[in-house]
Amino acid sequence: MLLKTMKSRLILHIDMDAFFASIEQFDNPDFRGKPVVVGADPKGGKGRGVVSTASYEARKFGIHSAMPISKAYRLCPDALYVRPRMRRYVEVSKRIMEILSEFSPLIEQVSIDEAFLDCTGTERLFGNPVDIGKKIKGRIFKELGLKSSIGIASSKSVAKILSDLSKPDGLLYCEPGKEKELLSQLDIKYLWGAGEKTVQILRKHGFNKIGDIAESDGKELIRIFGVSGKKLWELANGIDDREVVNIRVRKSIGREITFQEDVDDLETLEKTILYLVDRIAYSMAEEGIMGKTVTLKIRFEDFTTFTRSKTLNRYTDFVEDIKNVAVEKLHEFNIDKERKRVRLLGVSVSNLIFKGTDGEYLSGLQRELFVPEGDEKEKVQKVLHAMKKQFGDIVKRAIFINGEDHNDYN
Amino acid sequence: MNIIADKKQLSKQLSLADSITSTRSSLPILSNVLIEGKDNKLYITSSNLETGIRVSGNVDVQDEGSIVVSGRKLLSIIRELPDSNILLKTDSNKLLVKSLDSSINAKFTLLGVDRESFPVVKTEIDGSEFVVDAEILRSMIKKVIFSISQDESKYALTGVFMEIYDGKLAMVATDGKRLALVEKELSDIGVEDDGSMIPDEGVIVPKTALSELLKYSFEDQNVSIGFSKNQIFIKYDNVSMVSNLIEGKFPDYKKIIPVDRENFFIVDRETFLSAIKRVSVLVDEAFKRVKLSILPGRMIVSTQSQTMGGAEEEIPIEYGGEDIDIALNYQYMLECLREIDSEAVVVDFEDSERAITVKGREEKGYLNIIMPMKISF
Repeated sequence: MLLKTMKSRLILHIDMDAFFASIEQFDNPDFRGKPVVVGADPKGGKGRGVVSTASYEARKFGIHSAMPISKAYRLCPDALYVRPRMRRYVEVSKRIMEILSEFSPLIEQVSIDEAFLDCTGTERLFGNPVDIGKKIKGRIFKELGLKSSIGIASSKSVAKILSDLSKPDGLLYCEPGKEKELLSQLDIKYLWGAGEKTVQILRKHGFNKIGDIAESDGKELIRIFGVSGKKLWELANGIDDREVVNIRVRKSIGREITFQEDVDDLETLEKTILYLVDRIAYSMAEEGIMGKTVTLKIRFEDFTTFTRSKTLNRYTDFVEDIKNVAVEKLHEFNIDKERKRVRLLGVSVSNLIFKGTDGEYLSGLQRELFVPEGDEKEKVQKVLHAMKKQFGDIVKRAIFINGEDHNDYN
Repeated sequence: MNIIADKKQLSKQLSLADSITSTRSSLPILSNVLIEGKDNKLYITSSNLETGIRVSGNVDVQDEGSIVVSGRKLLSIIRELPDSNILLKTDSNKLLVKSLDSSINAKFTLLGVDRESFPVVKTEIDGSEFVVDAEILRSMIKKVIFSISQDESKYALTGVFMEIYDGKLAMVATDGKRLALVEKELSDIGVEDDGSMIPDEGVIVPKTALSELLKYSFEDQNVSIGFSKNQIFIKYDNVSMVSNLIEGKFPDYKKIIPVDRENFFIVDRETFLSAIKRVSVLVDEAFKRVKLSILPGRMIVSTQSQTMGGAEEEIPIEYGGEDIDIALNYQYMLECLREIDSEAVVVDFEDSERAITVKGREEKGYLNIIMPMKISF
């Protein structure tokens, strides 16, 4: 702790430019230099859904993320509208993280196309901060053909603001000690942590530049925003000691299957759920996470798709718990009675927490009065996971031994 | 069917019956109630498959008969009508509802649903029954019901366990992390056990039936209770309730009740309760953990949250032993302190890891056990 406060940190925020659209342009040379919109099907202007990412060429027409696709279509009917290919984007994202890991082991992936990197102490290896940034940008472009923007500073929030300002294809560095000066002239909308609502309120109170906030005595902010007011004041003054935390932010973990032939018998569906949940629980154990919300996704032969969720009152990574909820939700569809045929089945777990710093699951803080009933099954699960790790997928539950093999997606 | 009933009575009967109809059930029929007029009585029955309730009331029955209609809709209609007699009349598969108040001239027709698919709700006790005082029963339920598990996967813990032993009626609820136990001498509640009161191995009564009793305001203080193999029958005033018992094995709670504890502290209930309430304002709601630092003559209740800050409060206690820290879920402590009928509370413990017990110093037959949380503040 002491060392860290004495020595200034070197934090990079790497943000990919128009990530999905750029991948599409790289993969399809015909798209290059043209407006590309990744998102829902515009259906000649009648489409529902929103824009996921617009290429810089499309942005010139005023198209941006989260805009209704119908509006985008009105702005630029000639743009190339493509559906997202998440698997491809995830693959590219993974590769980017691998590249980043060559520069520092301390990576915090914030989203699919954005990460913080703590490069403190790597200057001797890679050169001065700007050199490091240039090297990273170069590596990503050379290998994946994608442009990125990088902000470099002594804190996460300043690095984030700089990458934002440098877009597209930019690189900005703030020398330690100059944070406050740099921030002071910026509009408050750049302040990381201040959302649209907060910005509105700030403006109402006469704060327009980040400097206005930094210059205030902080009391008014605390009066307006409570504890977060203090945070805003600190951020405006370039004070941000949040560390780059080595976890991947995951919102959910799930698996799904599209059946070769539509299925209408409950037993097969329940077996499939167990199969999916086994895999989910394995990944959860691998990543050291537990979840609270279980969601069942079901698509019938006519492509109508439903999701049903239930939130447990505790975190779990336990096959039985997840399976029970998924099966319970499955039964709500009256598949047996109404003879519905199922095309796709998926299970996911969300509301996740990571292993605590002391190596214990946070929810494991509470001790139990009785030896839990699930104890035996829990042991089985642990052994099963250990075996799977060693021997791979040939380790199966007995009920799957004579079964046909499923096609496992994502 | 053709009956005339008083509006207030009708609306009371209906709202009682409707309180257990299930709106979220997979069986749509269960959102309805069965209306029956016979023997100059109106019977309204509802069920959510687990619990069934039948509420009777004296009415003027001109023609006997029955119909199944939406209880909620019927109740909404009745509530809108003036305080005088109401006519309920069936016409093939429709229920006609009309106020007999001359000041309004309104008519409602509710479509009935298939009578055959409405579940049979058996509300007559077959076998012996015993009578307990409503207030005693209620106070016992209140002292344990908060410890019932919300976790459907721990099915056996989603109800209150009832049994008779050593001439006492015991009720126990636990969610696996804390436990509440209340017991009363049968002689104190005016019951004589002939050995058939409650099945020997005890029963687990689901929460719904018990919450109904907590909500209800009794006119007659006598409540009859009886059991069949897998059901409990509860009768009070003009209500007959039946509920499926929870099948499953309730854990052997007697085994975990700590005995021969040497370490304990005594604290004023109000003081302790307020301190926990105040300190818990800044508790991390994901874990709800507070720390009790027990020191000679005083205790520090504290909490620390990574996102919000922390709080601590010192209160006086009677204690002369060694310093010890115990962390626990503040809600468990709050909930049991609220139910203790005693000015002073005795908390005994072994160490930071084993269960603590919480009792009223002047209250017999009520015990709470709370399992601590790990300390790593």
